[in-house]
Formats: sequence, structure tokens, C-alpha cells
Amino acid sequence: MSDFEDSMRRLAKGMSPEAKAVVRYVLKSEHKNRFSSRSTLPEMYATFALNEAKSNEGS
Amino acid sequence: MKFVSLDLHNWRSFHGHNRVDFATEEDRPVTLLLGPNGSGKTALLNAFTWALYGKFTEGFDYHDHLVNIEAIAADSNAQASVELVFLHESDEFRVKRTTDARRQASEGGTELVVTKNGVRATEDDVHRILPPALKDLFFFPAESFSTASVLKGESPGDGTSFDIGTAIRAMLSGDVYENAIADLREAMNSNALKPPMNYRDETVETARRAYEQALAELHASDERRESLPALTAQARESALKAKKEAERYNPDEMRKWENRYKELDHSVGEAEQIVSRVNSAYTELARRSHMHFAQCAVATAIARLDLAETAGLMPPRIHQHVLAKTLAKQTCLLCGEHLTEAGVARVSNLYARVADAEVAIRGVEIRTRLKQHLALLANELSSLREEVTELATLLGVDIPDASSDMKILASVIRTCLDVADRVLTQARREFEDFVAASDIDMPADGQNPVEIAMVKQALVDQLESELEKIDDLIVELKGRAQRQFADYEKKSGKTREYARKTRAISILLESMEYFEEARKGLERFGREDFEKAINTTYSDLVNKEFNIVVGSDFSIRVLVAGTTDRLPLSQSEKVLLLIAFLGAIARLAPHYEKIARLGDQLRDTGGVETSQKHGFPVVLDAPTSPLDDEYEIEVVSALPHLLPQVIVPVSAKSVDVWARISKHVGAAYVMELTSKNATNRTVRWNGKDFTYSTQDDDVAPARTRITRIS
Repeated sequence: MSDFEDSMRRLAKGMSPEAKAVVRYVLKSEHKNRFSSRSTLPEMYATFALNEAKSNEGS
Repeated sequence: MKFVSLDLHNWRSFHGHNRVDFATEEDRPVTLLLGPNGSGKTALLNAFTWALYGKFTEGFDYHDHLVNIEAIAADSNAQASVELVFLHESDEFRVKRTTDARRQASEGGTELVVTKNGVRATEDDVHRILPPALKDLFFFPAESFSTASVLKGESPGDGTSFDIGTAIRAMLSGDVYENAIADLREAMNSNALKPPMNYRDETVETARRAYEQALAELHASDERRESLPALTAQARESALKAKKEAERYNPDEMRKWENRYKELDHSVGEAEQIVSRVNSAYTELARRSHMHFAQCAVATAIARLDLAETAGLMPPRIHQHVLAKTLAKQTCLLCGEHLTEAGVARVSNLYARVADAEVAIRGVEIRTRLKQHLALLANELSSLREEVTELATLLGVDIPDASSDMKILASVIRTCLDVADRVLTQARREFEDFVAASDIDMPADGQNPVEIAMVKQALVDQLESELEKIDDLIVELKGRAQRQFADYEKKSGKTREYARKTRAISILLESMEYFEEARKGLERFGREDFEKAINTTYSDLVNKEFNIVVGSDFSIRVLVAGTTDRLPLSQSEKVLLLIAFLGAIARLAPHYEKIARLGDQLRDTGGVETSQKHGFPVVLDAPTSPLDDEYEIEVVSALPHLLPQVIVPVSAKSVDVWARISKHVGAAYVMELTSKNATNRTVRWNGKDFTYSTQDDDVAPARTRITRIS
């Protein structure tokens, strides 16, 4: 495993499951919209994070 | 990736249809285009950049005259086009850009058609392979060979004229991570995460505002950090040009002026520093004025306790138990001597006072502490005295003697303050007078080129200093934003809806940190790859023991192997360093393109091994033009070992040198110039003569025809 990969894995290990889900979602969306309009992405991310917060309430 | 062919149709001076088929064989990687001045060597380079990006290299003029003038004379709607064909992996890409006489001057007045294996594709498909950020590295004009400051670094931080960090991130599709950061940042400010409509709580509002303020400051600094390397690179380039410009005007006088300017500027700086030091010392003395009173009070208290001891009011320094046993045995417990009557009386007396003097013991303890405090005060006073003495010496003021107290020191520092102010005023006046009275040869616009150069250098210094400090500043601002957010999150937890929103912000912050780390990693590990690549590339070109170090700001220094000493480079070695620099990027390009395509950036960046066998092509416009003849051979001989494909438009001035590497030249062309002002000349290649330029009164301004000669 490269140093870079190792450091990113360690960082991911310490992240909350909600943040990990957001990272996956953001990466997918950014790749998909790399060369097209990204203006709606921020609202989508906010909504996604809000849903993550809601679904993990009390856990 | 390899270029296959370039078709020019009525493009600039290339009248009619002209075609270049590029050399693609591994052991014959060079495509040589021999053309006289004015034949369009730089236009040929710009045919690539126009087709691929719709842009031109710096210094390329007449962007609005793309269609050949003869063609327009024959047809006012004449079109010009450039079609570039390249192979990448097993795919064939065709990029064709067209304009016409009417639209050539207008923004966006071009048509672009891209195909991949004969099927319509998009510009983005091409830019994924050849990112626009690398335009100036893959297509390199002659002027840049003489001005690129990558060759001129004399101290750490110098020597960067390209934003390599951006280039590397572009190759690795790092924009995905940058976009993610920007979008997440915006997401945190989205309406969905604003406080609930009907909720009002001043405490929470205050916490929210404090957090948003801290976050805004952090973002501003983040953005500043992003733009600083490019700004610094630009400023260095600009300062270098300004310095060169300044040197054109009576260099000796300029140098004298510059030295005197620096000297006086330095004097002002020194005087400012002294004033600042004296002010600090004065403030320090004022802040510690209590010491004077404390010292007097403590000394008086100690003197009184000493007096009490002398007067017998203090307890004897012997334990009560020892005295009791001595009296019981009538023998001194310490020396063993039998006590006389007088001795018994004295010891009895002592014993009686010990019993009464428990309170006085505390007096002794207090006196010890007071003495320690007095010593501490003396130390502090001594260091203040040292600073005042040093300042007084610097300023030629009477030095305080070793026993001077706070009062005397304060008086000396006041004198220092007056003198330092006078010195500063005088230094500033001398500097201003000198600048105002300078009588040196000025350019037509009346602006002093040395001053301009100095201002530009000052900007470089300022940016470099900012660059040095910005990481620490960001850490500090990040800490503050986190604290403010924790406070906001805690206070907003009173209602479920509000708590959910702040939790969502917290999740976004956490995610953003991941992308920030990824971006930093791309730069850090990309730099390591680049350092390895430039060392390998340079060693393919130069036979010398060296170690190239690439700084965190991508500055490049060549050191003697195994040491930290700079390796002196000849002029040709410097040009080869620049060529190696371009080659290293081109060698990394296919690896990074693949890494980005497979989405393996976070796994493979930092572990890339490069070689001459794999690399994107580069087009080098007249790479030997800034060199003296004697250096050309070394540079020309090195080029075939750079990349799997190198395209070089050059003049035939040193065709004999190029003939030395003819076995590596897979394709050679003449860019034959015909014009009213040209002379009739031929060029000899592989033992045959070819028309190089032709004088023709009927052709104005010029016409170029590209002919294959081998």
C-alpha cells in the first residue's frame, strides 16, 4: 500500500459513517458532472447530509 | 499518445493545403521542420494549440488574422482549418477547428469537430488526455526558452515560472477534488441548512454568526493559499523581466543606483527596527515599573527581619529537642563537651526562647522567600539593563552602569527613544532625497525601470513571505472555526430540527476535510513523482553526477550528488534542464492520464516510475535559438533521448548540427517561404538540396509551403 493510500485510509477510518456516505456520494456526483453544469450540486449535498443526519438520529 | 498528422488549410501563411505526417517510430522519434524566419514556425506551434484549445501561446500576435490573406483575396468567405490526428492507446482522435474570414476576429468564431474512432466525440474527451492547463508545457515557444526562470533559480524559492502544482493536479483530474471542496463549502451555506424559519434565539444566533465569520476567514485564507503559488510564479517572472529591462538602461549606472537604493532602504529598515526595539524596551520598562517599588519594599522587609534576628527576636537555629537533651545530660550533644554553669544558663535561656519563638520561625521562612524574590527581581533588572545597554551602545547614548536601577534605566531609554527617532527621520529623508534626485537614463514613458524592478521584487518578497506563513495561519483559523462550530452545534441542540441542520453541517465539514487531504496529497505525492521524473529525464540527457531537488513550492535546484551544494551548469545544461523539465511532465502524462481514468489517484500517485519509452509528445519551437553555436550540439544530440515523439520547428541556420542526429529523424520537412522580401536560398539535407526560400515580388506578405524531404 502506498503512503498516500495509507494516509487516506487512516483518515477514512476515523470518519463517521455519515461523512463516509457523503464522500462517496460527492465523488460520484463530481465525476459525473465534471464537464457539465455543477450549479445544483451544493444543494444536493446539503440535502444528502441532512438526510444522513436524520436517518442516524438516536444511533 | 502520439501525434499522427497535422493538416493545415489556409491557416496563416500556409496557403492552400499543407500536411505534416509525424515520425512515430521508437528509434526515430524526431520530426524536424526546417523553416526560415517568417515562414511560420511559431504559427505551426500555434496550429496545435488553436486546434486543441482554441488558444495561442504567449506572444503570438494577430489572433484575428487566421485565414490566409491570399485566400481571402480570392474569396472573401475563405475558410481556414487545422486538423490534428492523434492516437491514444488504441483510439484514434481527430480534432478539426475551422473559422472563416468573417468570423475569425470574433470570440467563439470557430467550429470544432472531434471524433474518436470515426464517431463524434467532445472537446472534453480530448481535454481529459491533454488538459488545457498543460498547453504551455506540451507546446513550448522559442521565447520561453530564453525567459523561463526555471533556469535562473539562485536561491531556494527561485526558479519556478510555471505552476507545476496546477499542471500535475490537472493531469490527475485533481479538479474533481477541488470542485468537491468548493461545492461542499457552498453546500454548508445552502438554504436547506439555514436556521429554522420560526426559531429565534439570540445566543444561538451569536454563536452561528461567530462560526460563519470564522469559516469565511478560513475560506478566504484557503483561497489565498491556492492562488499564492501561481501569483508568486507570475511575480517572479515579472520581476525577472523588469530587472532585465532595468539593466538595458545604462547598466553600470543602474547597478550603482540599485546598490545605493538598497543601502539606503536597508538603513531605513534598520532604523525602523531600532525604533521598534527601543519602543519595546520602553514599554517593557513601563510594564515593570512595579519592580522598582517591589525591590524597595522587599529589601526593607529583609533588612527589618535581619534586625529582628540581631535583636534576638528570631529563634535560634537549633532544634528544641537537641537543647533539651543537652540540658538533661549536662553535656553538649553536638561536641560532647561537659557544660559549665554559664553554659547551662545560656542553653536554658536558648531553650526557653525556642519554646516562645514558633511564630518567629515563620519570619525566617518569609525572609528566605523574600530573598529569593529579590534575586528574581535582580535577574529581571539585569536583563533589562543588558537590553538598554545594547541599545544605548547602538545609538551612542551614555551607557547605564552595572548598578543602575529602574529609574536610571528609564531615563536612558527615553534618551534612546529621542535619538532613534532622529536617526529614522534622517534615514527616511536621505532615502526620499535620493529617489527624488536620481538622474539616470529613463525610458520614453518616464518611469524609472529600476524602481519598477524594485517594486516588482518587493512584491515577490512579500508573496514569498506570505507563502511561508499561510499554512500556520490556516491551521490557526481552522482551529478557531472548529471551536466556534462546536459552540454553535452545542447551543443549537435545543430543538431537533436545528440540531439536525448543524449535524448536517458537521458531516459536510468532515467530508470536506477528506477532500482537502486528498488534494494536498495529490500535490505532495505528485511533487515526489515529478522529482523522480525530472531526475531520470535529466540523467538521460546529461552525463554528470547531480541530484535535482524539487521544493514544496516546486522550485527546482540542481545539487552536486550527495551534497547540498549547487551544481554549476553550463548554458547548454541549463537549456537541457528546461527540456528535461518539459520531458518529465510529458513522461508523467501517460501514467497520470491512466491513473485519472481508472480513478486510482489516491492509490498510485507518488509511486510512478517514468522512462523515455513512455511519454506524451512535445512540440519545441526553435529550442536552440537562445544558444551559442558551441552549445547546440549537446542540446540537439540529447533531444532523441527525451520522449517517444519530439516535434521541432527550427531554422536551417545550424542544419549541420541537426544532420548529426539524422538517424533519429523519422520525418523531415522544409517550410519553404516565398515572399517579396525573401532571398533565394536552398537547404541541404541528406546530401540533397531543397528550396528553402524564394524571392517573388508578386507574393505579399508571404506564403509558406510544407514539403517533406525525408
